[in-house]
Amino acid sequence: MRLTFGAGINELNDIAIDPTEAIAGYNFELGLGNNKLKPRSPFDLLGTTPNASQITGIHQLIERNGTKSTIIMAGTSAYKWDGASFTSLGTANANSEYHSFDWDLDQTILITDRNQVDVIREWDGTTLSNLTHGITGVTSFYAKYGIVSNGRAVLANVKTDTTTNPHMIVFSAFENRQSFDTSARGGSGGFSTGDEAFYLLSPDMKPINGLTLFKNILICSTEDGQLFKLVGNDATNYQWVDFYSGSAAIGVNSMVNAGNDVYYMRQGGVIESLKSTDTFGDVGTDDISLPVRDTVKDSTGTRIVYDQTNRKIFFFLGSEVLVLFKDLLSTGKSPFSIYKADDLTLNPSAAAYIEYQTSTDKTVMWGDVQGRIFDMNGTGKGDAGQYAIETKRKLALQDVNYKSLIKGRVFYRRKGTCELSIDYEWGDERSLSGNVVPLKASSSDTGSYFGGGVYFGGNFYFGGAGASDGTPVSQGFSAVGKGTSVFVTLTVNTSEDFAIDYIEV
Amino acid sequence: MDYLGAVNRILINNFILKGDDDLVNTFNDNQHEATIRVAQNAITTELNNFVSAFHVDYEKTTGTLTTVVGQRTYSLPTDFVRFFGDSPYLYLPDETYRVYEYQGGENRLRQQDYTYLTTEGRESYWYWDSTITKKIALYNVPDAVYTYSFEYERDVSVSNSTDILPFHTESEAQAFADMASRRFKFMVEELNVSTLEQDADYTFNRSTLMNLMRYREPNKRYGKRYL
Repeated sequence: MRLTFGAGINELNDIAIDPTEAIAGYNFELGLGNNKLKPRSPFDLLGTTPNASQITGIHQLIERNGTKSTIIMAGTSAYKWDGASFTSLGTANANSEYHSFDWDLDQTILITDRNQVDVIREWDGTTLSNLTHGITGVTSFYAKYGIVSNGRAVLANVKTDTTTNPHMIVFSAFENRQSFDTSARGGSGGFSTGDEAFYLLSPDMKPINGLTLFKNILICSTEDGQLFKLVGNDATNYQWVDFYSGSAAIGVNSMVNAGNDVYYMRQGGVIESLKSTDTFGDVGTDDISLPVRDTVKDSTGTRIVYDQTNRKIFFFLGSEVLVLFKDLLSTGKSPFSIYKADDLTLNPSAAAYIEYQTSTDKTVMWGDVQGRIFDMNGTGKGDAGQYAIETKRKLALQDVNYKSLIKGRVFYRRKGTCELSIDYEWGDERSLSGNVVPLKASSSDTGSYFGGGVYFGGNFYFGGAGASDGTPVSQGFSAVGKGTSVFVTLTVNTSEDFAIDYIEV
Repeated sequence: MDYLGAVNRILINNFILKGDDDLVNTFNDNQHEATIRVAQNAITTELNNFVSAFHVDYEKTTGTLTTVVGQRTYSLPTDFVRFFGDSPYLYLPDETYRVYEYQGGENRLRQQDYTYLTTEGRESYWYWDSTITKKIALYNVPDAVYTYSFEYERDVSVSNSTDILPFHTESEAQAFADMASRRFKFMVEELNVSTLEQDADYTFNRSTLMNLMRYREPNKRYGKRYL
């Protein structure tokens, strides 16, 4: 029997699942065509804000000339961060939850606050200022959500001074981010060119809790309501129509555009996909979270970030991150893993998919309550360069037919020195036992070749140069215990990289 | 070769240790725990069988017994298996006196001398004293102190990883471990162990061991001579 690890967690049952799936586990990586047991990338600690306060927003502006600036909101301060040092840009509200979107026309980013305690901000690469909004008689303008659509800045769930309009969506004037109007209803008369600013209300009058683009169509979700799509082409005829009445997102951050699809979490922690039918308007969303029902069932909302580079969608669920590997969606097997980092006290308070400061490569960076900024796709040894990563994978029940002795071999690649723990829960006897299998490091030896000072003989032989990085090797093991069946759990707790090809039993 | 070395040889012979596997350096090794346990048993089973059927030089040793006035029974050494040779006896180091076994043992003696339990005098015979440990008794019951010597075959079983297998040479120990390797294979693979004696490799290694242990050249003849 050959055990491989190509699929993710399947909590539906612990027997009749695909043998490449796991019934539990965390911190293992998946990928299309990959059957190995590999650890997730370390969470590199990139920096800590000077005030070491909760990070409430991570934003980035990339100007047309390539100039890059990253803004970090932490506690009561806003900083410009160059990847090494922080420069104060003024104040922030410690109770905010900032998000941003690009307004590329004027090379700025607009920053909204999910908690509506701070006004809409704007960063132009030099100055962090309050957005000029142009609404008559309004001083402070707040919005929970923002996005650019059809040449307009779109803000949803807004507040003007002390007046809350959670069901309102305002559209800026065409190609003018600084002109809004909360008195001109879209689709009504009184517009001259159709380029004017206007507003719309959610058709069910419920608070808006999600705003995203799907196939270049603006989609909004209402709280305990449904999904709507925007139709029309200017201020005179824009209107919301039903998109999918079956459900809507929960929480305030539970929608994400993931390239060719939109994913959102609805009541009960169910993660749904909008791309389930080619018949637009007749969408029957699929519950893609079935395999991880136990993990998400109590979730009341989540922060979702799409890592386009690695085609992963991160669902931040408090002290753990549910990871959806998009490439595996088409396989029919579970595409989910879970990331944990107990030593870091994982508790992200902000996250964004942005570029590294030193390259144009993108990654997901997240900040936590201690002002720390982490790279989700790090390259160091262990989390924050010091903490071991525990990778665990519990396999479905294995039928062993009372074999008196189970022995096998672990086929792996020489990388770093670590130990694989194989733990058994035997059926019938209900006993526990385990093996610890050492995984050896690659050799630093360089290969000797026939020629020069090296000849065929003496200390030098072909193939005697040791196991270089990635060399396939194997280690044996034999289990104490017996029973009709056994649960097998594999654990590697290390800061080293490792790769287990398969286990032959 | 010690006990641990034999276990390693068995695991290598059966391709349990290969590839990146290191030699086992303790019986508490967790990685190969199950196969180590079976290999240990294969060795002890083979060793018990071997020394029960053949005399191994490693077994022979000398013990002493000091008489006590009025004491009839005496414990033998804890590693005592049996007396060495035929007609075993106790002897004084200056070879002036020997005490042989009473023919017929206690069962006959108690018919011959009703007072054998208490009659004191110079001990003339020894006999087995049947009790929960290996003991002998003297007849007559000693009336003076003497220190006797005797040759016996000691227990050569192995239990600690550093215990040496009871063979003179490394070749002998290797041949023995190779025998045990076959028994290990039968145990692990749940083969019919009753056919072990017909296993060619097992009998080959057994005859190799016997030939190595002989004090003279084996008979020269075509082919192998299986004992």
